[in-house]
Amino acid sequence: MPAGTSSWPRRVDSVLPAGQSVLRGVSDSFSLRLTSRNIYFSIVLLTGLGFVLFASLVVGEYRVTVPEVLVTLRGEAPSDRINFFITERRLPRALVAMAVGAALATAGSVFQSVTRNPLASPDIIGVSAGASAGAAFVILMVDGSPVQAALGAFVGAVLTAGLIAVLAGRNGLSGLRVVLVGVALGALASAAVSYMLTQVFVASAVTAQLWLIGSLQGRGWDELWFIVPALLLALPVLARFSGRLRILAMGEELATALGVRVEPTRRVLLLFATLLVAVAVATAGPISFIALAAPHISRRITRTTALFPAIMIGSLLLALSDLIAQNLFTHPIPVGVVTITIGGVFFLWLLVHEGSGRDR
Amino acid sequence: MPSSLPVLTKRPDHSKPLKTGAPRLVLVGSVLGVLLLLSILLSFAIGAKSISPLEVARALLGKGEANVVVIIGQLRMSRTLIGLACGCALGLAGVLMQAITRNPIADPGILGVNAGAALGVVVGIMFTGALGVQSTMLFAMLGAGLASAAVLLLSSGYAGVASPVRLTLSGVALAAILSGISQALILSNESILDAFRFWQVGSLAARSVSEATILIPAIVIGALIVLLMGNALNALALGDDSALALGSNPARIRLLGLLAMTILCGTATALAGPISFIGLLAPHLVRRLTGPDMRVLIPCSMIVAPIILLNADILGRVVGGGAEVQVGIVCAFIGAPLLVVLLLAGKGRVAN
Repeated sequence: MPAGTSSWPRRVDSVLPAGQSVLRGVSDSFSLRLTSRNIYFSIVLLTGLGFVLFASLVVGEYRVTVPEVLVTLRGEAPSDRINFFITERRLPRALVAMAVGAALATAGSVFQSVTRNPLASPDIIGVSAGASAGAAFVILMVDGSPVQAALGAFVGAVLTAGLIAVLAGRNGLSGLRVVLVGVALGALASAAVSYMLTQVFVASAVTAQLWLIGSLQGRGWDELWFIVPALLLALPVLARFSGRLRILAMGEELATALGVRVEPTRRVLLLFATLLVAVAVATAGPISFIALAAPHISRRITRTTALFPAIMIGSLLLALSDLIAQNLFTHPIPVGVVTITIGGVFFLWLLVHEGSGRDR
Repeated sequence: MPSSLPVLTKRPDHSKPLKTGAPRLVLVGSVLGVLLLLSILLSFAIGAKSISPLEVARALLGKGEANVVVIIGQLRMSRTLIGLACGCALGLAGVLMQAITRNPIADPGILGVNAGAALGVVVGIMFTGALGVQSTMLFAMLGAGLASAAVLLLSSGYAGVASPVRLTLSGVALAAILSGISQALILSNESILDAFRFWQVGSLAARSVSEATILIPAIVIGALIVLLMGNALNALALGDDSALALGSNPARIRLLGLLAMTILCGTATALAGPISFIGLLAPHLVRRLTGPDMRVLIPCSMIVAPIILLNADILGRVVGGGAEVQVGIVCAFIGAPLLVVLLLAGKGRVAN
């Protein structure tokens, strides 16, 4: 294939193996490596997302047929009731699930690449625990509303991330220090949550515990308009930095040698990743293991650390988990319970694969 | 006789096996012993009602005011007894875990063994209703055993040993999963949640004297196993190959260690709930004093850990004013910063 010359976006094929090409923007403002594998999986994932979204509209306690859903989506709902369930309940909830999943997966990817540690996702290194402590404080100590709890979670996550940066950042945000300080702060935050849980009446403890496991119950358009702007703000920045992220993942010296300013890059990346975690946790509670598992699964499938497939896998995972949580059991359960189970399976897989020394 | 001859014929003195030297050991031992006695006394004396040492002694003999006798003989006796037993158990479990994973930052709390024990208890309560002390212990041991086995698997990464940071992170992830599952299970039942929230913080006030005396024999058995493993663990510290060459069987040592860890962590968690960081703190402090010889490290950790735990409990009674702060919380707030300090101090070793 001849290399494109002046047209935009131009394709660069010269040095790549057969079957691959790269899309580049004007003056290399972006570049996208296209392999048949990536294209194939992107199509599969997008189809999967579409399928899960549609399934979320059809399946539920209130029975709606497929044709009814289709006409409702065209704006000609057969009844107000159906219209309400589809457009006010199921559609926004599924979209929130996807947005939260995307935010968590993005943040997980960035944290793992920046710290160069495949286990250093925000739910392991304390950011989610900080958010939990913030929300638990609002729910348990000042008896706040759900919106205030979300605010508490946001503040908790940002505070924790800030503390990690301050405590770990004296000689630069090296991966090791970020991880260690994060684990310790996470332990502190969980201890604080446990303590607060013992200081209240049992009804408040139940409310808090429900929040702490992570749930999408009752989330709608309002929550979506809260999380989408954050995604729209952070994703372009992170996409712009994704090349540098990949180089950072090769190690500090190499990155410096390749012309990446390590510290400022890390700071920008972690800032926006933290923003995404904070917003996601404020929206749906500290849903666990999406941030840890999505980048791993993506890396397995695409054999790259690219952000985009990880984001789609995160969306798919959470939307699917919520579908399961709502419908598979006699009562709807919090989606956090399902993701914990995914976490358990993922962990067993990790035990088998990493324990035997492969994949490192 | 040439003066050099005695030197030439002098063989290494195997009858004096301890490298640190006996005088120093005696000193360390006696200081620790005094500190432990002092901690026990303070644990009796300090609390919502302060009681003078003299009154404590009289009350222990059954004399003095009736309410003081009850406070000393029941409430503070159970706390102190449980503090001693759990301290021993967790300190030993910490040493053991650090030895068999060959990893300086192993702790049953951080790496999820206590969370496994807690999950075992929750599962037991869910499926069999209310639990007695013994069945709580059995379920806790079951959970602790499975989680310990998982930690061992995690620690045996490529080339034998996973790096400390890697082990810590996978242990934290394991703990997160196990406690997440516990939380998910208790959500379905308000009364279990109500009981669990007080238990999961880790408190020495959760059990009575009679319940404690039922469980303490298990800790004694676990402690005996660990105390007898000193030489084996020393061999293991040299690496699996050297241990094999020295005639030890690393797999058997690990298996025995796993058994002891299961007994110790399961019983401690059944007594006081999941308490973190004690198993990390005690061996590190002792190692500073005595060096890495397991035959010294094990008994000393067994003394230092209860000292820390009892004092953390006393601190918790004092700082909260009227409401007490549970010992698990105090330990986390002391231990977490120390974890960071320890890891960053040993950065060169940890980083690779």
